[in-house]
Amino acid sequence: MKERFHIYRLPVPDIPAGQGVFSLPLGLDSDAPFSCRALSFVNADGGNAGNDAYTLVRFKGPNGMYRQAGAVPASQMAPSSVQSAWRRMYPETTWPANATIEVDIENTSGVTLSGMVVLFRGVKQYADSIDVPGSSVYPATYGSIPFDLPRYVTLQEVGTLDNIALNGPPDAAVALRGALFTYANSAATVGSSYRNLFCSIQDLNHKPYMNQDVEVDYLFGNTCPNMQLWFPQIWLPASGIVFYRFVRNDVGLGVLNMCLTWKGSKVFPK
Amino acid sequence: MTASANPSRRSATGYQRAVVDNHRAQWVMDPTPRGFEDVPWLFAFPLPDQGTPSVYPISHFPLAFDFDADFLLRGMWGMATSSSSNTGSSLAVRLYDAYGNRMSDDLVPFFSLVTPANGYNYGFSHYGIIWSLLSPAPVEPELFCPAGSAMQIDLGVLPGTPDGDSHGALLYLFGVKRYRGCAT
Repeated sequence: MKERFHIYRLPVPDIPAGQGVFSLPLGLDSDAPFSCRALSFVNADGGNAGNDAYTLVRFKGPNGMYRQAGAVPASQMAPSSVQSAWRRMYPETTWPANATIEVDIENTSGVTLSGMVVLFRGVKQYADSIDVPGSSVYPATYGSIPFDLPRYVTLQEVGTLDNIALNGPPDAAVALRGALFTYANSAATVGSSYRNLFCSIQDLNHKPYMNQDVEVDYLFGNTCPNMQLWFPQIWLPASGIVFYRFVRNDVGLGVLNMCLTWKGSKVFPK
Repeated sequence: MTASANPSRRSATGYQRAVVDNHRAQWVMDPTPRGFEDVPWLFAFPLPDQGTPSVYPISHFPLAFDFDADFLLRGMWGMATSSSSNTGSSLAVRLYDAYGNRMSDDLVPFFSLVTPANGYNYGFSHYGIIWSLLSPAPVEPELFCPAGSAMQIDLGVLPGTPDGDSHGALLYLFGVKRYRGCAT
């Protein structure tokens, strides 16, 4: 079996005070089962999803039965006070290909809940016979050294940077384990910040590792350094390519000069 | 270093073909070989502070190790040594291992280099202030540095750095010295 890192993103509609949405569907892709190993709740666009103690959630497993005896405060399913925090789901929960995850969300606060996103993180599972770009192909014997690939990018307040290529070095493959997304130079971006900044990573065939663009703080770890580890690693062959893109909608927050440092190891066959 | 292998993948000549391995556990260090003793060790290297971006880049600044034992580098951390508000935010570096191999294909923002995964690290701070008791950024895999060898570091500044800014920093390298026999 081959595994491929994947994130599913489920935006939640605005929920008035004292109300809830039930069986909110998240349709999974048809190409492979999905094993969820972590989930998180995003406070998007400065919305009132911040007080997770008043946001109750529950979801159904692959057999259609709830995985929680009752709705659980989001703060107890995933840490709410730390950005980029993922709640481990152990043991993993596997949904078949083309399945639907149903999520209930209740707003017990006194204000409208807006801008919430639920993230499911795990792996897609493929048969060994299927070609899966990005799968690790370690040689039987090899040596490796740590290797970073920093990429500098300027992001306007609103817009999309699409089809950005990350080219692998010619001398060795790189096993990518994560990336740090940081301000490239705080002196040059004084007063700039971001709130609605998303990224999508795609393999050489432009097949994304997520169903929607994902908040950068949760995909990479935010500028308060907290890098997320990807499992499994994304394999960048020698002279290979990975694509990524940024989408931003931050009117009035200034131009960003950022550095996305891809972190991993060069792998040299022996 | 050998990946796990399925014997059924051996050819008739016994040559072991490449195997698909979805994951190699990170930060799992090889045990200390028999006949050796590993002693935790820390090297601290002050990085040159020229005070003006115009004198950068500085290439191949040496980070020399001791002669008494090999050093296995397993973690890094960094700290500012000046009071400039922009220190560290505009310093960029590139490391070379003890054999001259580059460890990045471009200059990396310094605090990105010394940032661990999944853990708070305000390691790169204003002068004299350590924001927290930090975990170093792991070096994955560990780097073997022979006794008496030296790593090297290129230093530069990021675009937009004001002239006259100070960029002094300390680079800490964590790991173990590997002594043959008994260390003491």
